[in-house]
Amino acid sequence: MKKTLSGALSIIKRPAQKINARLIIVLIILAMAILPFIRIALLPANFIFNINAHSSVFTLETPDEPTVTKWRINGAVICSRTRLQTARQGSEQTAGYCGSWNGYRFADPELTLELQGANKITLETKPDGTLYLALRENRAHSVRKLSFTDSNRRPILLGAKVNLVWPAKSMKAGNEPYEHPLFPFMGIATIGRDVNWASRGILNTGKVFVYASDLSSTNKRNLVDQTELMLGDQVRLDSIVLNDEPVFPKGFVRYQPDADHHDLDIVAFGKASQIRIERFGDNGYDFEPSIWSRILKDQFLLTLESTLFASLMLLFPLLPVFEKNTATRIKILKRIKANRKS
Amino acid sequence: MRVSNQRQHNIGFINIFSAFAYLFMLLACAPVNALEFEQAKLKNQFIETIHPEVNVSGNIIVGVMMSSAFKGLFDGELALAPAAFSSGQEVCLNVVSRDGSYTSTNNYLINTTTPNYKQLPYHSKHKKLLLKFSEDDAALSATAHSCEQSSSDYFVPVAIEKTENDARRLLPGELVVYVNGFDATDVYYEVHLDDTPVVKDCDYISKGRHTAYNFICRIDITGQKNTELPVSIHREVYGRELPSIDINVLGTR
Repeated sequence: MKKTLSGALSIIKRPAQKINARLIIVLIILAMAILPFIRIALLPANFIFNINAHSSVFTLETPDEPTVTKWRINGAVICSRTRLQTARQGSEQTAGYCGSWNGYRFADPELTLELQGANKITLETKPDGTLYLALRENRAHSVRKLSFTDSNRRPILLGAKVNLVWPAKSMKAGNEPYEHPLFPFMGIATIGRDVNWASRGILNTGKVFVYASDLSSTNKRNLVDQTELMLGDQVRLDSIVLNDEPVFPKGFVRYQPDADHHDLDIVAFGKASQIRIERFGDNGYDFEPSIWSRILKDQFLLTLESTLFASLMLLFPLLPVFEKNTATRIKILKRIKANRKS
Repeated sequence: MRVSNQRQHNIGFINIFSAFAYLFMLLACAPVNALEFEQAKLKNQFIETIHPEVNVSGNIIVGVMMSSAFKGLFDGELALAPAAFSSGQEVCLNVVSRDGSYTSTNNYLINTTTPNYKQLPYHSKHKKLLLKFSEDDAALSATAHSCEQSSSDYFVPVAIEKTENDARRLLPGELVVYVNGFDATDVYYEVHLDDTPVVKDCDYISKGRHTAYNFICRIDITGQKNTELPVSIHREVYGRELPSIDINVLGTR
């Protein structure tokens, strides 16, 4: 206590050293005004966009990399432009779903589609509940093949153009029940399709959430902004380059139709500074969080600003104490001297 | 005497060689025949529109042109490749952007039958917009009839540029056909290039909007000897064929 008092006295008794309290207050006010913009400028501009949507069409472009995508495609009719090498596989041929292409169905209860390299996939649902998957080669050396649970059956290489059809009514492959397909993915994703007078597959509803990284929060990210997607919108999540490496969006597509709804349920995550939302009737727009929403949702920044503001409120009443030769200062000095003598 | 005859023989040989060398130099330095251009006449007032609330048409064939033709829009250096023009030929030039927001439809008159390049005046008031176009952003088509009539005969718009000494040269490119496949999953074309059948897939344009067209068919007509090229565009929806569209491209040599 004695040491604290003598320390405070020594500061107050220093007439030769003028503590410019007004300057400190001005600096604090400036810091409060500038800090938000400095923080926004220093933080990386890439956000995490999370899209939850219900759409009757979805397009995926897998990356031109060795990574393999695998999907279980039980119950699907396989339509190939070129004939498949299946004579030795004991498959049964199926027509009716493939138009002029060659149709196949396999009795294996666990049929897997494996994709490697750059392929283009379009998933589309029809009003009657039928699910179509159009698989197209996007680069010459990409691979598409069917593999089976039975290790005695060799995988079948697929050609450059293949369609898969899940008929509307439940199909039973062997004694297994029809399974609703689920498609996890990594690649450039386009949800919805441009509206024109002949198009049927479009995005129905959805939401876009934008997150910024925030080490102070529990899940290390902070919701910054969100927007609703309208009927007919088209959203594309593209790849970005981070540390000289391409980073692709990820997510999954589930198809679980009921009597009233035949939409794909789509969840996709991607990093970007903004995303493009194409909308019929206008030129579309780039959705990115505004500076104000970033500032207002930044917990660290808000805490810092609150602390500075509190410091300001404390400093204002003490302003006269630090000023030289004010009446208050002299009174306080006299009181301290009197206390010491007593 | 023998030495003298040999010497004369050598001199004669040198003279002949020199004459050929001189002739070769003359030919090498002679000016190359420049491209011949004639001006076509705009029939009515130039019409172009920008409408953000897009009017979508039902055309399947949206553009037939050389791939660099869009560059001729913003500096007015647009032309039609030489073809069998008829006297008083009317040509309908249609330009549409891929997002459908920019369109122009104009009739031109071609008065001569000479197989030269016919320059089409294009006095757009939206040059800033046209300058933003890159490849595949705008489709041009020049049908061999007035805009009020339909036609399956297409001339080939090309872009030209002026060189330093005011000569003109064509911008390189390949023949492209822009197609609105609507819901088609596959679009491909069929042609006979110098009597060789060629069937090739058209590429889907995955980025951006596809309001006006979404497929591009690239046809290599390098060395093509025929002046006309019938092209058949086929569309399929998950293996089910839709009616094909047949067009005739004029001026492909």
